[in-house]
Amino acid sequence: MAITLTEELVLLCEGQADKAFFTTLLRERSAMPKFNIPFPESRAELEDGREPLGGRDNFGVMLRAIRVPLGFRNVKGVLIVADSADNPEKTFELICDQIKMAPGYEVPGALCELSERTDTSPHVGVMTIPDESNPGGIETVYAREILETRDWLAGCIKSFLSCGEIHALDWPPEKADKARFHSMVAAIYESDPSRAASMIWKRRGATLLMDINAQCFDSIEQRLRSFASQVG
Amino acid sequence: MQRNSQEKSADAGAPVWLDSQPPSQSAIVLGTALTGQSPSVVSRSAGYRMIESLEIENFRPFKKAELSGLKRVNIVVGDNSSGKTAFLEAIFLASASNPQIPITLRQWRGLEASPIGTTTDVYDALWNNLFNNFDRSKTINIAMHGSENDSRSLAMFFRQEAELTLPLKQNGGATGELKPSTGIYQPFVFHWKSPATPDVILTMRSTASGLQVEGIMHESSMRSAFIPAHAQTSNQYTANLFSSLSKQNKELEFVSALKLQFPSIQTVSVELEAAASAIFVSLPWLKQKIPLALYSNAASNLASILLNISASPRGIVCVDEIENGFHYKRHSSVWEQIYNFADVYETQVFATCHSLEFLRAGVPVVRKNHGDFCLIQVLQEGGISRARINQGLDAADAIEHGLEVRS
Repeated sequence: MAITLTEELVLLCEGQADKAFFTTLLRERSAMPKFNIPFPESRAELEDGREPLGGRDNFGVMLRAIRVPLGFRNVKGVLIVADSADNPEKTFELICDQIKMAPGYEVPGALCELSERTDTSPHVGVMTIPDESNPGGIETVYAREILETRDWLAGCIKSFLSCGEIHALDWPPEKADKARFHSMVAAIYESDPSRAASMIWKRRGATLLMDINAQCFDSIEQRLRSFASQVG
Repeated sequence: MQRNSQEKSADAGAPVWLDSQPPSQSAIVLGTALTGQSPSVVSRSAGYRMIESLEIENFRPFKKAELSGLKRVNIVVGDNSSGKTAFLEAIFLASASNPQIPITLRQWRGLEASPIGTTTDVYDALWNNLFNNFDRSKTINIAMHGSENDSRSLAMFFRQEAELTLPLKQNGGATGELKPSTGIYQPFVFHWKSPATPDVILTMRSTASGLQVEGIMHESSMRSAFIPAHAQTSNQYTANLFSSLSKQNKELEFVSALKLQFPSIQTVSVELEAAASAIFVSLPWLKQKIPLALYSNAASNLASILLNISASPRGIVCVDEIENGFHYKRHSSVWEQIYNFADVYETQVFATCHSLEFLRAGVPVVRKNHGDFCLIQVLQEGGISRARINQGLDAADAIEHGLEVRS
C-alpha cells in the first residue's frame, strides 16, 4: 500500500527505526503537532533483496519524490531528521548537499534554523539526534533511557564491549552507541532479545523496553514543537 | 429529430444518430463526417511534433487549467471523477477538426448519442455538459502549444446573438410517430485555429431533418486517436490500421512486438469473416486462425494501442485506462513497447492510469528515459478540477519509494 501524505508538516527521517520512534512519540505525547513521516526505502532494492541504501544519502531523492504526492497540498514545512553521526555539523553539511540536489527547495542556514518559504519550497529545517551538539543517533538516546532505570547495566555492557578482542567502545560514537543499545536489548529483553530498533515500540503483548514519556526524549519533543510553531 | 434502428445499435463503430443527407460543400450531416470510425477515432494529417503546453478553460470540470512541460508519454492519474477522462477529451477535441467527436465521446461514456426528448432537450444535452458547470454563456477554450512554434486551439460556444425558434420534430412515443414541435436553440460553434491550416469554423444547426453542420472542414494538422476505457475496440478498425501498416511494409515491428508479448502467436494477418475484416492470428494448437480479440483481450488492447501509435506519427494518442486487461507480469514489457513505439513514430501519448502496480512496473523505463515522461495529477475539489505536472524522474522516485502519487 502506498504512503499517503496529507499533513501540512513532513518529517523526513532516515529509516524505519526512526519512523517507529517518531510515530510513537507524536502519538503518545499529548497535543503534538501532526507530521507525515516518510523515509527513503526503495521498493526495487527490497524486492531484489539488495540492502536498501536509505539514510541521509537519499534525502535529495526523497525531497524530489515527496513533491509529487504533496503537490496539491498546502505543505508548510519539511523537517529533515538525521543521526548526528560522528559530527552534527558535518551531517548538516551533507544534508544541505542533499537539499541542493532537489531543485526548488531552500537550504536552511544552520541546524534547527528554518529556510524561507517560497513558491517552490516549504520551510525546510534540519535537526540531528541526539542533539545538535553531540555525536550519536537514536540508539544513543535509547541507551540513555534504558540506563535511567537500570544503572547497574552500564558496567556490564562496558565490560562486554571491551572484553577480549572486542573494541566496540572505540568505534565511532554512533556505531558504539548502536552496539551498546543492541547489547542491552540482548541482555535484558526476554520477550525478544533480537528485537530490532524498528520494532522496539511495537507491543504485541510484550512489555515495552522503554517509556516514550521518559525525560530523555523531552528535548526531541521540544524541537518538534518548536519547528511546528515556527512554521506557523 | 428522427431516430432509426441504427441509432439504437450499441455499435459505436457506426454512430448514426441523425438522418442521412448528402453532404454538400457547406453542410455536412453528422454521421457521415466520419466513416468507419471505431472507439479509436483518428484524424489524419502531419507536421506536428509535440504538444509542450496546454490550456483548458471552461471545459467539463476544468474552469481553468494550464500545464507546461508535457512530454512524449504523459501519464494522467487522479481519483475517480477527478477529470482524467475529460482531460484526454479536451486534448482529443482540440487536436481533430471534427464536430462528430463530442457525440462519439458521449457514446464512449455510455450515453446515448441521440438522447430521447424534445428536440431542444436533445440539442442542449449534446453540448451543455461540455461546459464547466453547464455555463453555456462562456466559451470553452482549449489551446495547445507545440514544439517548432506550432500551436492549435479550439473554441466552442453557443452563438448568443442567434437565438432562433424553428419548427422541429420530436419522437412521438412508442409508435415512433413524429409530431411537430417548436424549440428555441442557439447554434453551437466549433472554431479550430492552427497556423498549418485555414481556420475551421463549423456551426451546428438543428433542422427539421436533423442536425447539420455548416462550414467547410479541413483536415486537422495533427493526427490523433482516442482509445476509450470501456468501449470495445472495433476489430475492423484495428484491422484497417494493420492493413495500412502492412501495405507500407512497416508491419514487422508491430508483429514482432505482439509476438514478443504473446510468443504463442505464429502469424498475424487481416482476414475477412462474415464480411468484416479483423486481425487474425495463428496459434500452434489450433487448426485455423482465430480473431486476435478471441485469443486475448490484452493482445487486442495492445494491438490497438500500438497500431494507433504507429498510425499517428507526430500526432497524439489518448488512451483511457491504459492498464486495462494486462496481466501484471506483462506490465513492464507493455510499458517498454508503448514507449518504443511512441519514440519511433514520434507520437505523443496521453494515458490515464489507476493501477499502482502498473505504475510501479513503469519505473525502470521512466528512469531510463525520464526526459520523455511526465506524470499529470488531476484533482477535483468542490467540482472544479485542477491538473498538475510532475517530471518523470520525480514521479519515478515517488513511486519507487512507495509514496501515493495518484492524488
